[in-house]
Amino acid sequence: MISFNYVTKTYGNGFPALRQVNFELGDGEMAFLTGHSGAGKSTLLKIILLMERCSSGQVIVNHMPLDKIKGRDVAYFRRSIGVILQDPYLLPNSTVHQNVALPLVFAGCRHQDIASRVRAALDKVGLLSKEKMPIETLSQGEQERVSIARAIVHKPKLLLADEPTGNLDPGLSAEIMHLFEQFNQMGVTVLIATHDLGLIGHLRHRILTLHQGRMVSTGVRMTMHEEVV
Amino acid sequence: MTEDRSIVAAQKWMSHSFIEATVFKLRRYLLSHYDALKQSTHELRQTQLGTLLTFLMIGVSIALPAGLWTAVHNMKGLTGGLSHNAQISLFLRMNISENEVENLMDALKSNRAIASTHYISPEEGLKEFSARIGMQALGDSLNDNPLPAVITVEPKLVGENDSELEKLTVFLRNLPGVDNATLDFKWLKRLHSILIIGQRTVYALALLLGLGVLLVVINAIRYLIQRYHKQIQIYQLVGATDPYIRRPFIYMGLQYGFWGGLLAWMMDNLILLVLTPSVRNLADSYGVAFHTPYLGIGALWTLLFIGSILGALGGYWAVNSYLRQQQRA
Repeated sequence: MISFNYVTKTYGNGFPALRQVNFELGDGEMAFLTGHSGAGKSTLLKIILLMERCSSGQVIVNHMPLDKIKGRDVAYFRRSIGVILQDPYLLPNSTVHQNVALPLVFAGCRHQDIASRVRAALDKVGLLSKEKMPIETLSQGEQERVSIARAIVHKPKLLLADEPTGNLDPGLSAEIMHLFEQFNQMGVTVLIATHDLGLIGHLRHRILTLHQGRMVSTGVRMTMHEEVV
Repeated sequence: MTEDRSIVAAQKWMSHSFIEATVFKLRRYLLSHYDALKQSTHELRQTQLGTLLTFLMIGVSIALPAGLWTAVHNMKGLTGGLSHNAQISLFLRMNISENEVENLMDALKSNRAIASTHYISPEEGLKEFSARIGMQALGDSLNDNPLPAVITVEPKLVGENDSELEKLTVFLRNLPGVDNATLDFKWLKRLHSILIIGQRTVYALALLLGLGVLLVVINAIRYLIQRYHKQIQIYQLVGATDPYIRRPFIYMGLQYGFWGGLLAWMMDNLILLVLTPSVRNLADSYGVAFHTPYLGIGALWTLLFIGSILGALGGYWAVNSYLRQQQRA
């Protein structure tokens, strides 16, 4: 569950990235966060991830008020979230397995558990056959899928994605979106920041729209027909 | 009864699972340290030239105060030997009787501040003097022996207690039958003063160069952190704690200090090996026993310990300031 109550974020230079943002995303819900470049999408995701702290207002994630989470507990909080970024943020000079295993290693899982859960995650994204391959040998789409496998391997309650299909062709993008929908059907709350309206238009999910730091629409379930109307 | 048994069984099971969990956590903790050590070693091997230069810089920084300390320590040992051998010469009255000399000798031997005494009669004195100036017939040409009887006294007091030695000299001068007592001690006092200045300079230098080691390590680790910037970001993103991120860098600093300490020990011993013959000659000319002042295993452990601690501290400081900067950004 994500709840934003009158959240404002102003950077050091006085630039207001978010202004009085209000919205709620229930457990098991899936939504898209849209808006032009600089609208505040990434800032919103960074606040959820505690990479940034809001200047005012209150944010509750997974029933935890973020202002109550101290610096040393941030790492533990992040373990309850899966993150996918436009740049896949994968470890170079490492194998697919090593990259996907990271969240489990940090969580202190047993070696056997790590192996089986990594394989399961890679199976879900269709990369089981590339488990032992170095990350550099994979295509961009495959690297994006490795990043998704890493985000879901520890079974997070919440999945955040920032322009996950930004560098991918339409066919691959649709495939990735389908994966997110599958995770959502398993009960994972999913929030995806994207400006690719063509891709998300035909999906029946909420669309939150940011414009110059303000939430101009918190969306309702949409169908392609509704959007056309 | 059955209920009691089931409670005991449950307690046993709980205590067993508690132990198992504790062992697992401990094992995981130790493994994470082992991994960090392995990772840091791998990184140092990757940048061989840079690593070697850093080792050398740290080695020189540690070798300098360690070498100076050894030099001052050995000089102190030498002067300690000199003062221990310092003699007080008691010139006796010209007309002193044998009986009085015997009483005086007994009094000196019973004094706890005196290690040994040696009586030189006027005849022996004249003979020695004649031999020293190369005029063997001097004794025959003189009607009367002008030299007094002398007792040389070797005090037990050690070098630092020069005021005690002076007090002893005054005391001996006032003994019955003693005309005069002399202690040539001023040059030794000056040497002690120089050594004290030397010792304090070494401490100041050690402090400064210790700070230097710290800065060298911080600089080296900061450079490595820049290289690993993206990796650290990924780790943070997927839930790595700050201690987990810090650990490899602390081990890198520790290894810098450790190998630097070892190099310092080797460099100092090499320098001592070169200097020892000259110092031995000098010591021999003063009639002082000189032991080879090599840095032994104890010194090696000390240097390794100091180097490792400074290195680990530098590593900790560098990575911690980076993490704090990240939090502020």
